Amino acid sequence: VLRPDHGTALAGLLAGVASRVRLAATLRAAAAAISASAVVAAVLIRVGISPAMAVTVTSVAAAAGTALWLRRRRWSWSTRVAAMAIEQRRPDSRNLVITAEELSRYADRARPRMQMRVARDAAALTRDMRAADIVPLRSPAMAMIGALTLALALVVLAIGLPQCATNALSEAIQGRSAVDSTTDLTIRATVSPPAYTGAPPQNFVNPERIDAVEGSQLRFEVHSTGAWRVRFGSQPLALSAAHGGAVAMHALLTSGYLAIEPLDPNASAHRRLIPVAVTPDHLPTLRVATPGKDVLLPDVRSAVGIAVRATDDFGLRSIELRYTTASGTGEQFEFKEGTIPLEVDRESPRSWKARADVALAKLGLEPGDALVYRVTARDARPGDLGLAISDTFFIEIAGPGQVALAGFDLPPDRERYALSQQMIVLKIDRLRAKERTIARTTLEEEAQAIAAEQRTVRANFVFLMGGHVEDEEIEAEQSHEIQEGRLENTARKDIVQAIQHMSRSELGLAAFNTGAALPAARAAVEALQRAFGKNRYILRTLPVRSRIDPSRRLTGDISAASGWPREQRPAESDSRALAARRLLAGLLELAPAIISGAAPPSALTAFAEDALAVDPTAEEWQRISKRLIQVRDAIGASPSTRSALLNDALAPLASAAQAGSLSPSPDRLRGALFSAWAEARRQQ
Amino acid sequence: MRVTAALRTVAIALALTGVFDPSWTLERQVPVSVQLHVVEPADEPGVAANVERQLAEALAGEVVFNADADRSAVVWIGNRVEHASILEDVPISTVRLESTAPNVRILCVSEPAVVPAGWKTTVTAVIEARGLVGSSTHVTLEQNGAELARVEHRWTRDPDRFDAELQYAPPSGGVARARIRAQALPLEVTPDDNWMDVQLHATTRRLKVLAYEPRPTWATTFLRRALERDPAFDVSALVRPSRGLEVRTGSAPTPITADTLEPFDVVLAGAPEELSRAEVDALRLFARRRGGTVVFLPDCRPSGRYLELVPAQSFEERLSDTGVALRAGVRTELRASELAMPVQPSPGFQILAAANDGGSARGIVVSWPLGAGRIVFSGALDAWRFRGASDDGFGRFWRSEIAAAALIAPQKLGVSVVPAVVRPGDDVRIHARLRQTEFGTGSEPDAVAIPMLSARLVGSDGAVHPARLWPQAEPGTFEVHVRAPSAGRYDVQVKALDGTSADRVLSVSPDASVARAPDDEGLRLVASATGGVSTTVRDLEPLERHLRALPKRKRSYTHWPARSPWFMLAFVMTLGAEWVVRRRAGWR
Repeated sequence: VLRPDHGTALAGLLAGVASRVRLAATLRAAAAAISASAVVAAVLIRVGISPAMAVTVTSVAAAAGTALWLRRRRWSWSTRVAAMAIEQRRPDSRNLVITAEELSRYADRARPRMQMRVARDAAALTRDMRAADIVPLRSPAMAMIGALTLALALVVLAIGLPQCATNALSEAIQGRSAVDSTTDLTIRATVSPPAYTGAPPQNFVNPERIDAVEGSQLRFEVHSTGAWRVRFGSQPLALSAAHGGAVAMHALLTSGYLAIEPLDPNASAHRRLIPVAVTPDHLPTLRVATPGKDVLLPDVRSAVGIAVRATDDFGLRSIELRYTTASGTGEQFEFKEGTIPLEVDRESPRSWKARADVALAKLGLEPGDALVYRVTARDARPGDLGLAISDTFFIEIAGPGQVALAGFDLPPDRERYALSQQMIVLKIDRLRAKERTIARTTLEEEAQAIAAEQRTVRANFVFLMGGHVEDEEIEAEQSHEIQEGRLENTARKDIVQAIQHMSRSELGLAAFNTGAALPAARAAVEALQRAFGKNRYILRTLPVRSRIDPSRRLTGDISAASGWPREQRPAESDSRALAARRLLAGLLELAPAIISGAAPPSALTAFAEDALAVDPTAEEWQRISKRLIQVRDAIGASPSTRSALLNDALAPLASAAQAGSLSPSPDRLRGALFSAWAEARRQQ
Repeated sequence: MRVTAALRTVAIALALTGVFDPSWTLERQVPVSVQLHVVEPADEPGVAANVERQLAEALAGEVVFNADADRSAVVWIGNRVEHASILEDVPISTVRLESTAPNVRILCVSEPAVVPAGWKTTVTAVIEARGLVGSSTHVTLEQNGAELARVEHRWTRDPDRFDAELQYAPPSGGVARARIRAQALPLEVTPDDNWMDVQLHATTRRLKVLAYEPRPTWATTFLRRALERDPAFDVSALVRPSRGLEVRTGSAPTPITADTLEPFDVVLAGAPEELSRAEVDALRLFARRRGGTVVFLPDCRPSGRYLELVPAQSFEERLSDTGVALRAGVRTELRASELAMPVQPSPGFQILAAANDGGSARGIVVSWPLGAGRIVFSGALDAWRFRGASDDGFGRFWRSEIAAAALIAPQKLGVSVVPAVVRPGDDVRIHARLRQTEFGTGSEPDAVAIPMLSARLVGSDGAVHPARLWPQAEPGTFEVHVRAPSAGRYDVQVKALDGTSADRVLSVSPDASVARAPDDEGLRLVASATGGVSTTVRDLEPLERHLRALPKRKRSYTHWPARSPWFMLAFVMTLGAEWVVRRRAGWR
């Protein structure tokens, strides 16, 4: 029987299937958009954009993208696609459903009877089919859930909620464990590490100890009904009212301890001590792995490969290879400075590898010349604070007549300094030229650096002369001996004079007076040129050992020889052991009062502070201080409890007091006869 | 009639007897009288009473106890010698008490040596446990109630003894009262004997050392530097780098004589082969009379006059490429590569550092007593070369040895107070010793004049208690026993006529502990010296045999029958009977 309602049933099924297809497509598109937007949002948050902004922007973009995509794909959820889906589900229909759907849209393509027949057969075929079976939504729904989960995780990680939760938990634990039951004092501390470290601020509540990187900013809040003052060691910190409490700020540069004291002297028992351990930001560590030694090369044809490894505790910022070429003879040297690009392999922000091939010929080196190189690296600190310089190495090109095997390393005992007095002159000259344009502090720093180099050069010449010249004036006055030919080394006088000029140059630099230093440095060069005019002279040349002059032996006036009183060496004392003994003696004296509960809390607090002042960073002294505070706070405890707490504090203190102390043998102390008797018995 | 006559005759005879008062004497054996004396403190009075009961039962009829003053023997029941109870010509037997109840008790504590402040000293306590096998006891050293040191010991035998050694470094100079305490265990019968007081004494006196070198040597130089670094030492030095030249440090004397060396406790003699005869004699006197220690530090094969002071037959030299480890004490180790080993050293030598020579210890740094002092010979000729070792064995060894030598070097006048912590009324022995250098010359060539000493106890409240010091057998030593005065802290001052003085601190406190160590040696000595026996409460048989063997006494009894009331009664009865008979007979 052919009825018109057959077409209606099929149309309903087709509409349902088309609707589910659209829903599935929408879910998949939304999942993809959410995943993509979450990744983008996480990246934006990490680069510093606020989380709210990042999430809003990416969400809008994702919604727009999804809508656009759905609009472009709207053809894919028509009744025709639905009919194809049904056909895929029931392949045995042999395009019957597709035909019925098509005839429903194009009625003129077949006679009504035929249309009704096709509709009836199609309805019969799909009678038991449901749209949910044809287009399941489980997979798109799972994709959506996965996308949402991924987005949530990425955003949470990017915002740093786990860290915040950890901090909050830590705060809660600290607050619970360190809360002072005898006072309403609450201490909140926030340590903000230097920005270049990238580390988040750390929050503490009633901390027992604060660890910080050098340069961190400490914000310290004291919440209490009473009035308090805060010291960092002996330095009082200014407190200002804020957030219902008092706030102090302090830049942490050295280790120490915070003393939080009530202004009311009667409440001194509530004084709190908090050790602060400041860890310095270390300079980058540089190691020249290849060649890692001085080399003497026969010519300039070969290139020298240099490999460097750099590490830093917080992260590296830059690395470069600096060189100085030295060419010339005597003191007539020419120096050229420059840098060689390095090929850097960043394994991590904290560990870099770098290498370069130094083509000696391109640097204009000739036989007899030398290349001095070193690697410099900076960490993230501003200015030169984080500048590290590696060991300096030499590459020397063999001169005429100098036999060298390729890559043969120079003897290690030869001095490495390429600096000569000429170099000092050059540096002073440069500093003098720019001293009006630079800050006073910069001038002082650079002058001190050159003074240190001048000292090094002078020390090497003193060493060359065979030892320390106690009094250069007297030494110079006695130079007539040189003229008299008693010493074979005719250059001695000139070198002595050069040393004198170097001393004056050093004095000028120490006074930041380049005008005074420069002439003296030049005079030193001239004196050296006189001494070594015919020979090339570099400081790292092996010093000639001074020989004993036989002609001078036994030539002194023996009647002038006399005895002399030797100044006694001051005894050395271990300051920590002394402090421990002082504390121990004080505590033993106070012990009966402590055990009975009559000891003034302020005395115990003072002991605890003294202990902490010995070494605030040492765990041993922190422990002693903490235990003394526990003794102080055990006011309401029984005498046995107080005694046990006191003994806990005394044990490490006694151990520190005995550190390095000796004990005379008890057997020996009983006298010679007893010792002899004991020894005889032992030998039996 | 006859009865009357007879009675009358008897009465007359009795009356005549009474008038003449005849007498006769007889001898008869009597039981031995023994005095039982419970020595204070009576640790366990019940045990003492039990001993008396056992002896009375065993010796019934033969011995009477505590009968009268005419005692034939004395028996001490207790663990200590009571000097005041020793009687002449009376044998004293001793019965030591041995309890079996579970208990830990401190028997005695050795008086710790005086050390510089900051140096470690060792307090040794002898602790006894009974009935506590398997238990552990914590022994602590306390001062003012605060714990300074602690050791733990597990008891493995019954009874068991343990020498607890507690190390402690006094943080400051002066005298402090400390308490050794053995933590009481739950099973113990009493905790009252678990502690004992002792006095800790740290000196702030710097130990005076002279380093003398007839020629400069590395051995002495580096040793001197090691001592100079330590604030406990006051080092003076005299070096002769050449003829007529002297390099001096501190208060080094010139010339080297016995008199100029007197202020020093120890003399380090470098390059001893260069010492002159006079210098060797001065060093000999320094050791013998002054009581100082001379340390010879040769750096070459021993030779020269100083070997007169080193009692070894010869020296064996030994060289090593890498250096030989010399064991000196538990932790310290010296090293040296050039060794001079004393061969066949004379008896009485003491090894301070030894090398392992085929499994046996061979003395390299050796010491001998010489008079009141000591001689130390260092055969580690180049030990200074190893002074840079990580454990600083060179510095630690020599500082420790020289400090010990300096601390035992007698001062001009030395005083000891034993015990230094007592209860009021306890016996305190004050002993004073004058150094030989303080003796004067007598009127005869070989005689010496010993200055008299006076002693007194000065309380913290200013009260003065004089004490009479009695010279002892050894010249220069004096002693007195005094009863501890009332509670307080006393300064025991001893002065010589020339103003030399010394003092010690005596702490008198009602809660001070008493010595509980059984004085076995003392009890045996008293028993054997007086003719008694020494035994224990567990074995009274020797005592019973001894008491039975005591010579029995015979007592003489003189009978005076007429002085007896029975005699008077007999006389009256006789007269009365005679009167009754006559009355019944009607006679008048």
